[in-house]
Amino acid sequence: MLEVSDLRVAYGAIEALHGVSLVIAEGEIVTVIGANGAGKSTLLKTVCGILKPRSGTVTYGGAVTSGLPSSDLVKRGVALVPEGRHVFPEMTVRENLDLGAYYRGSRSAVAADLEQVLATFPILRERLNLPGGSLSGGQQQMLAIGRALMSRPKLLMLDEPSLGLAPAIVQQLGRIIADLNRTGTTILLVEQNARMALKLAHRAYVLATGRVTRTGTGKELLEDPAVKESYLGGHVG
Amino acid sequence: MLAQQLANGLVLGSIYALSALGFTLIFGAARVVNFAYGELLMLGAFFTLTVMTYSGLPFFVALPVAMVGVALLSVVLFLLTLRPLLRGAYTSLHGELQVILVTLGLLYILREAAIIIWGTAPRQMDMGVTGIQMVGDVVMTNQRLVVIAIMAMLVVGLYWLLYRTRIGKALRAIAQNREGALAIGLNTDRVIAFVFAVSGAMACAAGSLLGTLYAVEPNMGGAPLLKAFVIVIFGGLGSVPGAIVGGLAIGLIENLAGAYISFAFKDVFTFILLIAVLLLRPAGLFGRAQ
Repeated sequence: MLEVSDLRVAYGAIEALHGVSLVIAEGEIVTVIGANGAGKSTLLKTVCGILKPRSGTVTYGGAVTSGLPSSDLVKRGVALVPEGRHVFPEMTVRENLDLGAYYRGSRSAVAADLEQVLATFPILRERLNLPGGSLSGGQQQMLAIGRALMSRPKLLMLDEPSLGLAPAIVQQLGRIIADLNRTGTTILLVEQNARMALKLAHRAYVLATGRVTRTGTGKELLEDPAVKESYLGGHVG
Repeated sequence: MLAQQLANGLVLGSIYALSALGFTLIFGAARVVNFAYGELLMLGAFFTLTVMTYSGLPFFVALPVAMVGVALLSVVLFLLTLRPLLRGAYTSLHGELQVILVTLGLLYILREAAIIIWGTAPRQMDMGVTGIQMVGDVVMTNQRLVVIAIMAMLVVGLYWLLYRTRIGKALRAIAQNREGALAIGLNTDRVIAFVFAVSGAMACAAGSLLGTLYAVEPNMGGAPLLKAFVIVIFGGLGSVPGAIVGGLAIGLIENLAGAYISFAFKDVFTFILLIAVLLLRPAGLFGRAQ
């Protein structure tokens, strides 16, 4: 479904990704774990067209998409839940969700998806007419995911969804991500919370300073001593 | 006397509010401080006057035509000069400086172009509205009432655009959270081009109204730019209600201070108020602290 090959991305003179390659098959949950500054967000932003690669390609659904604007990627079914949620603070929850469906024509299909999102996140239904900025961190994360779902993505990319959330909410998010995947959405999950991500994922990549250093199934990496040492808090747990 | 000054202040404030609206919209959506904005007011007045002169159309028909013209010009300037720079501008101070220098350069290019085309002599522009209204001992020319009415119509139109249309919602989204807007693929260049168009149209309306009250001349853009600056800082950078309230407030203050304290020092009171607001509410009256 998605193939990233030898991707190099730079901010001005500083290169953040030094030739990253990965593949995601339809129906998978794939996670990319790595420390702060490893290039995880850069990878997602490049896949969804916000950043342009210096070289290398992103192929999605059989076509090369690197170089296309993010609006095209959204129309083709790629959605990003950005790190830090980035909801629209002065717009209502309803308006936030509606904007997720900005490029969709069919109003009835959008209305049905809104119902679906509100069924997934009942808390959003209660807050429908409140400004996005008035929600708690966890609720904003749900709004950001709901907003992305409103574009009816085939590939949903989540950037650090667990950041700053209470453990109970993180668990809830994990269940929701697994559910979304069961109902047919392919997931690319980027996390510093490696344990949760690896448990959820079918396959995983470890990204360190702009390079893929390890890859395997979620289970394999959970048991990999080097991964344990670097990303799972050493011997603890 | 007081009622009269309030009424006069309202007229001036309406024009200030209009000029500040176009300025604040661009700042809100594109994070661009557009120093060439005052020149768009000036060009707007000249466009309206030119349409009136060559077609014989009345002011109220010429104004919308000129508004479309300035909107197009504003978009062309954005596409040619600013769009190539904006990508870098959000991530570096260097980029921001380039944008500022480009809009400053545009200021002089547009002003000198106007001088070459139209000369420096002030020209009259007649709205074609005569007569006066008296309420108690307040006297208002019908022309001034029309100024207030046009500003009210444009504000209503702008609110409709921002809150009821698809592209207006996208514009607000980009102004509120750029990263979030990019994440859902809102085509920022197109939306920002649109905001430049709206801003140009507002500038044209403000400039043309100013032109009917005073005179149309190539140097008329400087003062409104400075006022727009003060108003958006006063009301909150990027805030639409802030620009409206700020514009009206500053129009009123100038008139009252000019009438009761000192006409020569009327601008001083505006700036005293600005300093007070900055001390008490650094983000402006309607601004959001970042």
